[in-house]
Amino acid sequence: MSIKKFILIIPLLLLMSSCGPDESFGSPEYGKGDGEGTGSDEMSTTVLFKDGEKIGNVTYTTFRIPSLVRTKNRVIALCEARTVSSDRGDIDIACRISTDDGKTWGERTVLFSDGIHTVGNPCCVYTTTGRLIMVFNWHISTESTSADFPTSLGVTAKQKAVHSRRVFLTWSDNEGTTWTTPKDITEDVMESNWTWNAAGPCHAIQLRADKHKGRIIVPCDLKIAGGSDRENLASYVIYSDDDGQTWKKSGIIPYGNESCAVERTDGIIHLDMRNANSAAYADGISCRTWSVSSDGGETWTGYNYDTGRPEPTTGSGSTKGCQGSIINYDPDGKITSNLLFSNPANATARRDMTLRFSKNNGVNWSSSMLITSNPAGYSDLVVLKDGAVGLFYETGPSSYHQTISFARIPKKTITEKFN
Amino acid sequence: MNHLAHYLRLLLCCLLLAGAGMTMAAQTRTLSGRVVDTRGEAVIGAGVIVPGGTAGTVTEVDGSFHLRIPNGDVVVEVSALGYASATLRVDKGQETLLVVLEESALQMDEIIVVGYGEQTRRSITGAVAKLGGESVQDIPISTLGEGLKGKIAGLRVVQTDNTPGGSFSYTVRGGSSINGSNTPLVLVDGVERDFSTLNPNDIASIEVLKDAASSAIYGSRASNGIILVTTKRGGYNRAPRITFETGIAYENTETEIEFLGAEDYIRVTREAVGEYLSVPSLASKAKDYLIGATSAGTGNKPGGMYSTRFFDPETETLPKGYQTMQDPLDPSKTIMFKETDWQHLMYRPAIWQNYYVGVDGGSERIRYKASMGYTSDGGVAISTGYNRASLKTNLDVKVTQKLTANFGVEYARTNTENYENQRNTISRSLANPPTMNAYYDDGTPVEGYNSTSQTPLFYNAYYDRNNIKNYLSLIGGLTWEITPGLKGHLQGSFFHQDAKQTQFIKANIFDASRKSSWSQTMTEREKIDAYLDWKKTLARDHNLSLMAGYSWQNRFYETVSVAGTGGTSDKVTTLNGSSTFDPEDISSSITKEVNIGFFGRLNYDYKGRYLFTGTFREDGSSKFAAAHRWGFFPGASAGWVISEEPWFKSVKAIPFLKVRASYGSTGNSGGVGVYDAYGAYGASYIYNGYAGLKPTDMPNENLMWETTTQLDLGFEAGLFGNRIYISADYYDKMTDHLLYEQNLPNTTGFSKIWTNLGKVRFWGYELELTTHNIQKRDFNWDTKLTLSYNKNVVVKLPDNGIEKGRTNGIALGDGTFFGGIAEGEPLYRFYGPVAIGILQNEDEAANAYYDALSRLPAKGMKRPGDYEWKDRNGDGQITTADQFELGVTVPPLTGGLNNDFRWKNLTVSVYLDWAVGHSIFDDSYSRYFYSTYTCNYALAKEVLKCWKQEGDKTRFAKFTANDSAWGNDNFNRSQTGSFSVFTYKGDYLCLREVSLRYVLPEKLLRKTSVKGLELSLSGNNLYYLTAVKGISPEIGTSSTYSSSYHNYPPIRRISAGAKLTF
Repeated sequence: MSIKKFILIIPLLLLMSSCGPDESFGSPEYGKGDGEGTGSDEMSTTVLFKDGEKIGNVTYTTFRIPSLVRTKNRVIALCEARTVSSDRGDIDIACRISTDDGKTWGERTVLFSDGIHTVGNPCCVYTTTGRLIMVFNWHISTESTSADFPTSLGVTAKQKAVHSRRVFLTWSDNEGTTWTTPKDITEDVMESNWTWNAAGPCHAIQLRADKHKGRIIVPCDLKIAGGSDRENLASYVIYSDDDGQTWKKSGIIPYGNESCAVERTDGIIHLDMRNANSAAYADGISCRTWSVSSDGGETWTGYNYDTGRPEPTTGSGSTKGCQGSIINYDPDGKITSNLLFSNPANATARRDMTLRFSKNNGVNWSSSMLITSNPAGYSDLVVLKDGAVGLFYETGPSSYHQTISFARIPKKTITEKFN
Repeated sequence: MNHLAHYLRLLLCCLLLAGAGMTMAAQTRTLSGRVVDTRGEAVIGAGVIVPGGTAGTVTEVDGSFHLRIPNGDVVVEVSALGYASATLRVDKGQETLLVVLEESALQMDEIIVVGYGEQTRRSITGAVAKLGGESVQDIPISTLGEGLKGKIAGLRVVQTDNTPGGSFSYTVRGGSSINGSNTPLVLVDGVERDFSTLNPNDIASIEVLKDAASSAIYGSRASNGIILVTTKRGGYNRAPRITFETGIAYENTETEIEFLGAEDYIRVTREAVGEYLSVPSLASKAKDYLIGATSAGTGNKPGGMYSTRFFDPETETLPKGYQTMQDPLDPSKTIMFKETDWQHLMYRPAIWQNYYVGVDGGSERIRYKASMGYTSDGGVAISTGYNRASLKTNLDVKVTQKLTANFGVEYARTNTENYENQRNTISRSLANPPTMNAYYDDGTPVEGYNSTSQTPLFYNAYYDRNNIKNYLSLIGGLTWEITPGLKGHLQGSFFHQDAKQTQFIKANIFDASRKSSWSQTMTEREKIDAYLDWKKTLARDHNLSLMAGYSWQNRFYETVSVAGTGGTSDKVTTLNGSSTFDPEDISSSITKEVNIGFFGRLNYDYKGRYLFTGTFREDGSSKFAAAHRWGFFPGASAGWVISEEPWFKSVKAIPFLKVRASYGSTGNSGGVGVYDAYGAYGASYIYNGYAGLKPTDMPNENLMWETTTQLDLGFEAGLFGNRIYISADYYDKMTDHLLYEQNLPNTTGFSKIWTNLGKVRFWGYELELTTHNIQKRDFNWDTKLTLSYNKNVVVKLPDNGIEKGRTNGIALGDGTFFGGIAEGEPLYRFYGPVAIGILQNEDEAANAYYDALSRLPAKGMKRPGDYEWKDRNGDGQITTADQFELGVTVPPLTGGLNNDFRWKNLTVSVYLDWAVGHSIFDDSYSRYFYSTYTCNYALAKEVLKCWKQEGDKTRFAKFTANDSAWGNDNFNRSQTGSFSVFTYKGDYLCLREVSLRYVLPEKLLRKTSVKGLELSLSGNNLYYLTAVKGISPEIGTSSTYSSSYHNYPPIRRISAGAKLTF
């Protein structure tokens, strides 16, 4: 080594030694629980729930089924906290609250639990009267015995014999700090021969167009007795015109599955559905499906394919497809024709969480944004107070349900995509 | 000087006549008279002779003649080109004679237009068919194609889309290719173009060059035959004649599908769904349907999509338009419903109109023809229609005695309204149940089941579509007689065609984006043809003619398309109202192509007895790379006019007999894309936000046209004074260097490449028979029959490792295949499962084959009423291997029969045509048995014929609600597509045209300025005798539900018209 080069190295070594060992390089890591907001022009991602975390003194194997809602001053992220890895068993509804418009989040809490039974699919809407309404599902645990009835939510053995999958209603008038005792509305929203109801999983909406102003629509799917054959599946919505006191069922859309509703500027309601129709996949069609209603959600057309938005063939069990979420981008509180849609946009597997933008009420999805190419699954969207968009989605480095993360996409990025 | 000679002649005549008159014992007399045609017009240049004598003369410009004839009874023969000869008796003492000559549709001396020249029928050695323009006039048709079906032997004309202004397919002798184009070259007055805008009244004749010898002169475009259309020109020395024609027709569908009415639909569906109430796995679904808001369910609310619900006579009054029926499942309850007849909301009678005015005539040096026409078709199906305005002029000027200039200008503009997706708008639209309401209470049309099954009223309310085409043809030419016998011809032409398609979708429940689209295509062709032809007779008996020429054509093609969405108002339908533009919706492209040819022809005949023709063309096309750009296409034909042989002249019964043979080679470059040989890059890729180019097609510099060599043997005979004319041909063609897409390994980055590998053979027979059965002064009866028979077989295919080179075959499961395309087997076949019977009871059902193609593929899952299918490979199972040939899509035998009856001034014509041997799988119709959309799909009336109990003899299996999900897929064999139950024979006999024409007698018009008036009553597409309903039987297909099939029904027109000549 020549003298010249040696002389150059010395300043270099000095420079390096002056850098503190606790200088951090690189992007935020997974596992850093309590979020860090970075610059307001970049998308920031925070992990809100992670496999194996504890809430209180209960360790949860995994967290699934994200749901988001924004109230006047808060953003509430809800999900199912599962002690088991399947859809049935001891599952509770957990949540985290943000009071600074999604930048930082409070601690994890459990909102509702019913012993060994399942409570899940939290589906919320913040109404114009200031009431935060939630519809959620209850499902009997596989290990229950007759001694478990009535349950802490009041389900009796007789009720369970008719419907082992039930629908509950609760609300909060203080933006989620306290909730009323959940009320069982199953008989109003399920036919006697339906074996399944799932609210969402995503958020609910309240209509703003004059014709059915104030109507609350909770998108659901159902199964008619007979197993998981695609013929038994259908989508429908339940709606309430009195701020959630009484509920009715809409007409069903055969072959539909998990759904999410959005209001269009022309007053028509668009229901975006998971394509669980195995016959379609056999024909090579693996994409989202949709239906529309012109009477505020009471009756729906037959379903249509949207080949521009792929959906993974690989579902869970025998039901294909994956859940997706759709919202109206209304930063000024008014319905626009700008829609946002999120789902794992890969035709074969649950990965590639993508945000899509439509400027014309969902007819064309003109641009998209890949959030992550990692495995990803269910998601929900919310429009934040400052016009940014919150995406709460299942993702993980090797499996889609390892975490549920919250991505905050700044308003600037969104408006660019819409123009 | 001339005047003096004229006077001298006159003086001489007078002296002679005087002298003759003075002679008491005169031996001859003068017969004077006039020769006219059936319209009373003078026939110029007709020969008037006394057979056996030397006296003969020719008629003057006004048709008059004077002839010296012997005294006593004389027989006089009058003949003229284009007319039937007349033999008349002149009685003793008769000195005047009026001769009326009949025009003859066929004559040995009829002029036939061939490539770059004309020949007489007598001297042609190739296979050329001619149809006169009058065969396509006086019938209510919009375009020429509608009037050509079956009229020319060897030319198959099929209307592939019956929508007004819809497309046609033309094939001559079956075509010549598998993957390439089978479309013949069409030339109108020498200009390559589409002839759909020509008004049939402007057409003088249509010639079809069918064999290689006649078509090789067009070289690499000729393998599929040539159609030459010649338009009418004026006449020298003719007073202006004005023709005005008008016709108005009433049109409606010729055939419709029979659907179940609302009451039957409700009853049949409820009963079928009710059967599932006792099946545990489906009971709850069945119950949900019956009480739900469905098309036969009782849960509908007033003002909803469906009208069916319970009615309580005690407490309710029946609203207007509703009917009641008993609930078949609970007779104590009454159901109310409102019926909507979707088919008659979609198809309504419409009016078709046609107006034409033409003027033609000429002076000594100029002849002209000009015409204007307007045709309008209201369109039977809602939101379809067509109108066309056209202007055409032909002008010939004799600049000097030796130099003639000719000009032609034609402009036409068509405006067509047709469906964006005809399959959805007809087949799926009519699938909306009869209990679906047509309108909501607020007057908006009910949208239909989903976005691809909109109701006709909804489609009509929200879709605005328009296609406007402009055609401009400009022709200028010179003919110069350089020396007697040597003529030079030069013609330049410019043809421009553009089509503009616009569409605007108003904001509606399925799509609120107000998508506005605009696309335009433009084609321009510049052409120069120059040729010399030289005629010489050597040593009196040897007739020689030579022709040599050069042709250059440049084609320019451009497309533009733009679309935008996001408009704010339905009133702004253009793109300036859109706010969002998707890069994929915006594109434009240009292609260019040049063809150059050198050609020549030699005609030789000895005494008109032995005929020989040789042609060649050296053709170059810019489509091919340098190595294969030029091709040589020769053709030779010979004929022997036996009737000219002295030893045959005694056979009086056969005045004309000719045998001929031809052999030659032609090319087909029609299937090759303009840039296929050079490879292509795709330019519409976006990578990481930037525009990019990507190679999409691999170049193949060895790519060349397909070559067809054809042998033709034929004979023509005129019998019994030419009252019977027969022309028959046998042909055999072999196409080599077939265009084929070969698969490439995906390591190349491409999937396929076009190559020339393969051989296919087409052969067959043609017959044309024309007879003048009765020819009397007051009554004529003429018949014309054409028959064509065509078969094909694949001779060679690329080696792909499978026996016989089979592609697209069906696997039998043991490593062998059948079906598809294979060496030694014909084309156009389609396959599917065959139903051999219906399982009558539980025993039979339990022992039925395991049906892997059904929804419940397990042994013993069949139920009474299901089909039993035929097992091909004997393995006791029904799989995709169990398919059989259901038919072919192209009929081998076609023909037409025309009869004309004329009684005094009234003519009645009846034209029938037929096609035999093809099959149609009516997929669209089979869906009206599915009860799909969870029992919300309309049902065919024949569902009432479905099997119900043991012993029922019927073609249709048991009707099950939602057959493809709850039943056994009897009607929906989705894995294979076509199957036997709904495969119908496409054989048809069509009463195509009937017309009654009455020509007003001359004397009634004498006082007016009207020279002629013809009134007519005619009909087109009057009746098909065939097995299918609701669609045209003309097109064979393996699925009437495929997106390339057009299910617009055939339209029947009945018109009244008048034609005036001034």
